[in-house]
Amino acid sequence: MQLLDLFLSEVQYDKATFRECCERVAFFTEGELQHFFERLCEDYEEDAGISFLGLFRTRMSAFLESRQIKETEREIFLDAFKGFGKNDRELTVKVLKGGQEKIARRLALLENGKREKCRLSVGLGTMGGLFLLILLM
Amino acid sequence: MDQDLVSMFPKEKQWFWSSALDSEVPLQEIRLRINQPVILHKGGREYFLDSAGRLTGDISRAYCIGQQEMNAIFMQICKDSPYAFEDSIRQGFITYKGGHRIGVAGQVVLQNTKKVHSIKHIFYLNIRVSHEMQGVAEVLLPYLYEEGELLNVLLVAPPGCGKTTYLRDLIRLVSNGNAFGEGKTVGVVDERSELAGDYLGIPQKDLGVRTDILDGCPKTEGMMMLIRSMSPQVIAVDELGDREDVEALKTARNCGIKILATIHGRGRKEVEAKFPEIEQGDFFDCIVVLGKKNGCPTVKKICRREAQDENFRRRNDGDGVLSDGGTVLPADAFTLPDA
Repeated sequence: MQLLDLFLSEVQYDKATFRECCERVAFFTEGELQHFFERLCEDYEEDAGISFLGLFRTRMSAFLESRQIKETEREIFLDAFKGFGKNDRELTVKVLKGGQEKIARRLALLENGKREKCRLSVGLGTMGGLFLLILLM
Repeated sequence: MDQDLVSMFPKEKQWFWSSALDSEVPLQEIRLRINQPVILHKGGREYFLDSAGRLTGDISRAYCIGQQEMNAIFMQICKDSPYAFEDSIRQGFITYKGGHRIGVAGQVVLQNTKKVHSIKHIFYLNIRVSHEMQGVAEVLLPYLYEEGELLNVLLVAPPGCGKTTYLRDLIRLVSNGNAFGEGKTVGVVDERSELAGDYLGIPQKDLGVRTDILDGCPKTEGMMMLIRSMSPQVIAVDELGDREDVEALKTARNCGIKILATIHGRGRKEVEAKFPEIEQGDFFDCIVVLGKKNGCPTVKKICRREAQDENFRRRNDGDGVLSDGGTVLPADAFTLPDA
């Protein structure tokens, strides 16, 4: 979410190209993410004629996969960047914002699912405990 | 081969374009139209490309470009970020690395049925190859200085006669300094990114060491910004278009700033009709008329203000012919030749 916020600001206020966005995001991030974006920009500069959007998608997908992010979540995240191919800046901003909302909804869903699972485990544990108690009595 | 030009095309098809562009004959433009043959203008001649990227004159063997390839080229030119070039696309062109200019056409999207909002379905591209011609304006220098001081200069020419090329070189020569005067701080308002050929903020053309550039800024506003902030000794603008531009130039002149400007026109009548101030003769000290000779841009005439013309007259009493074959007219008044 914070990452998308950075991209959004770059597009909205600075009309930066996708590559410029990545360069600046690298400046504002740390650790692995910083290294990822720096490497992405360097490789793009070295290899003239390749699609930056394509390169980003491939590399980011691999990066997320290596961090155990599931395919559904990976797709949702990568789809947010589809706006970079649009002719209109407002539309690009809207697609990015739409992507942010989708990610937020997915996060809420995952949180809810986690809570449900937690509740279910507590319930099952209690019931199991009671069952054991009855058996022992 | 121009690597900037090749990088405009998707990687998987660069071999095709490399062979087409790799030739000693200078390339002027590449015309891409959807489902139509690719046309190259080289050395004043028109060529098609066959499916192996070789030049051919036979249209039946010509390679046609498809929608997918056209989209890929456009996205490559825009670095996958067309929105970042929306202002430029609205004006009908994109400036690329190396100063190459890409004209775009397609379906126009209107705003309030009047103003162009954007262009979608961009299926026509005209890649105009940039050729920086350093030194072309040197021939003008003796006429543009008076006792080491630069005069206010207007270049007049119809389209395609090298106005921008001459102005660009003049800016460089004035900025760096030359045999007739020392280097001056030049402020350039490059409204259409034609002079410096800015690409993602980096000037692609050499405009000299003392030049500050305001890229993509409207002329009137840009001139005032430069006066306020950069204290230029010379202001250069390309293609004066309306009265507001002339008003801004007047302000600059009143601040003691010298002017280098260009205007569309074939001669006196056309320019006078646009700007009567120029006819009155208190604006520019020197007017250079450019034209074409045997298809090549050339200096046709140079007119200077009467009052400052002693040195000029002396020079003009000689052969009166410029090295490139253009004729220098005695400035009998501050007027442009008739159209």
